[in-house]
Amino acid sequence: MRRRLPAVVVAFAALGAAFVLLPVAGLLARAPWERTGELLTSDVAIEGARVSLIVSLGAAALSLLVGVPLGLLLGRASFPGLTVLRALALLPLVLPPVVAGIGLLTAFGRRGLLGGPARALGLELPFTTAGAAIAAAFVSFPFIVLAVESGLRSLDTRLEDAAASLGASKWYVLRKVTLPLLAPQIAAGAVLAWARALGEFGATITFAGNFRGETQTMPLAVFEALQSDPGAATVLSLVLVVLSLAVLIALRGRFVGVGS
Amino acid sequence: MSLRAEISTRRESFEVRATIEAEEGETIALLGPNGAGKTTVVLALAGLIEEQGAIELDGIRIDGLPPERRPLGVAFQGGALFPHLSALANVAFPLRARGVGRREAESRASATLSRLAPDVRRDARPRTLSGGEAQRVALARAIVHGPRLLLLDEPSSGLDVRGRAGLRPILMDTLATFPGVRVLVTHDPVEAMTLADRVVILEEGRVTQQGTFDDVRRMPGSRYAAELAGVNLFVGRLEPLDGGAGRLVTAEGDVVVGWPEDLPRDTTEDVIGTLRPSDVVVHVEPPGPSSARNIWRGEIEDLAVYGERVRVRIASQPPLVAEVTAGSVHQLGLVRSSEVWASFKAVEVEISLGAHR
Repeated sequence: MRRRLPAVVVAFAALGAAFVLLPVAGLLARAPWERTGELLTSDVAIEGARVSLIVSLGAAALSLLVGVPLGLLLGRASFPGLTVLRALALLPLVLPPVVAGIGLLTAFGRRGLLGGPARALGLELPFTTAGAAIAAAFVSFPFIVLAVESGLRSLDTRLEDAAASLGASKWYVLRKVTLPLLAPQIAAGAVLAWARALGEFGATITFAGNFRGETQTMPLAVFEALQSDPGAATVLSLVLVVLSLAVLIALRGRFVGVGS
Repeated sequence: MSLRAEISTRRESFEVRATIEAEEGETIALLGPNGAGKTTVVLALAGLIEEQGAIELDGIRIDGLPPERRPLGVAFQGGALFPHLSALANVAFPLRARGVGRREAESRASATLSRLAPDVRRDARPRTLSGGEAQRVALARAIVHGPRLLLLDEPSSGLDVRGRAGLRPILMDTLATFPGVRVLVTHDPVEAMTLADRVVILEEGRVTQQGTFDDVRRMPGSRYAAELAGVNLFVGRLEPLDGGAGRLVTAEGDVVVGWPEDLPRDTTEDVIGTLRPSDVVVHVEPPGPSSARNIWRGEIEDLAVYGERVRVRIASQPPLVAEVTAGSVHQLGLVRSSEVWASFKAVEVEISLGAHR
């Protein structure tokens, strides 16, 4: 049986719910419904959705690629400077995204630290789709680092000991025991990272620019539309709301620690 | 095959220094109270903690090897089964880790499971298994790859009376048929007595005595050993009595015991009862009415002094060892050959099932 809650808590909870609900209601009220079909099938919307999908999924994949090993390192290794490294790994979470974008430009931009070598290899990052994915990955991979590190903390290390004593090499233990046991946390981190990448704006526009069909993700398209056609902006915004809500409902909170 | 291990390790302020030797085909029990460092020894043998010492198996040093290259099988306390793998995949794990193909690994794992855990479904997840079943699967996983040293860490801890009874024959069989050195870690003297050929007693990180149980019984090397050696052991058939009690019928006489709560009230064979000597009260006259259901008469056979405590061996039916203070020996005037009465409560007798046949 569920415990009953004091009325004050319920009242403030209602306030919290309204806080989220009102902006959505506002979007629904102000959307130019008669133009919806036309707006949804416009180039801006279709291209925006396509770029958003590619960029957010690419960012999630990149985040996994670097976030999981970094989380493992932070959770397991012990060396001087660990605290600094942990702070660095979480920096993108608190940094204003526009600062992240400028940082990326100074590192991977044409005149950036790695711009020359990257160009020599035929890699053009700024103002490309790949660049947009990197910008989104930069701000979203800390979610995976956090998830892996906290997962490691609650992992029963005896299981890894058992695996080693049964003949498993370090690599085999990682693949067959550690990572499978961390799978729920990694999945949770990946979903959060993907969601963060989907909503990315500042780092993307700074590092990758705003080119339709290349780097113009849904949020950028919404921002652009807002200046010329506010009605279109609300419709595009609603697309993002529906998409995000669908994912969250499909997961039923399973991957953010409140499984049902 | 033989094992010679000089283990020296320190974990924070706790230091373990122990030399353990065992021959091929021998089961040694590493016996000691909780916190004596038994698990530390297991981890050191398995290479899972840092350790300065020398571990020799069949004359080959293995202490420099990483855990995965040591030829041993460990059944950890509580099983430590991989929760994300089926029972079969758990048992196949040591083979798969060594590069054996899936099909062959699974068929060998399945054969081992058939022997040790025939009732466990191959695709069962560990969390659906009972404690006894999990321990059987863990045993199968520890031997499936044919290690040369088998380490069992507290195999029956956490199991109830029936779980232990079910596991004991499997443990006996596994230990008896394992072709190599077997080390059984336990804090349960009955388990050590019934499963091992020799005991190594570990206290506060040091070996205080090793030898056969008879050696320990004859000349206990420490207080703890004396306590173990002096444990009164009754083996026989348990019959229900009224009022939550039972009668343990042994070859030398009957003992009234408390009926274990988780055991059905049916006559049960091969029951072991243990009684601590300090729970036995010695009287010089027939005791008056009391709650003690066992009141036996006998001559004092022997008095052995351990510091302030004295062990009194009484030739009753069955024979008993009581532990009293030096003061009460003096006060009661206990001497060899004097006639005494010994009493103890039924509930002081601890019951376990599955004695040696």
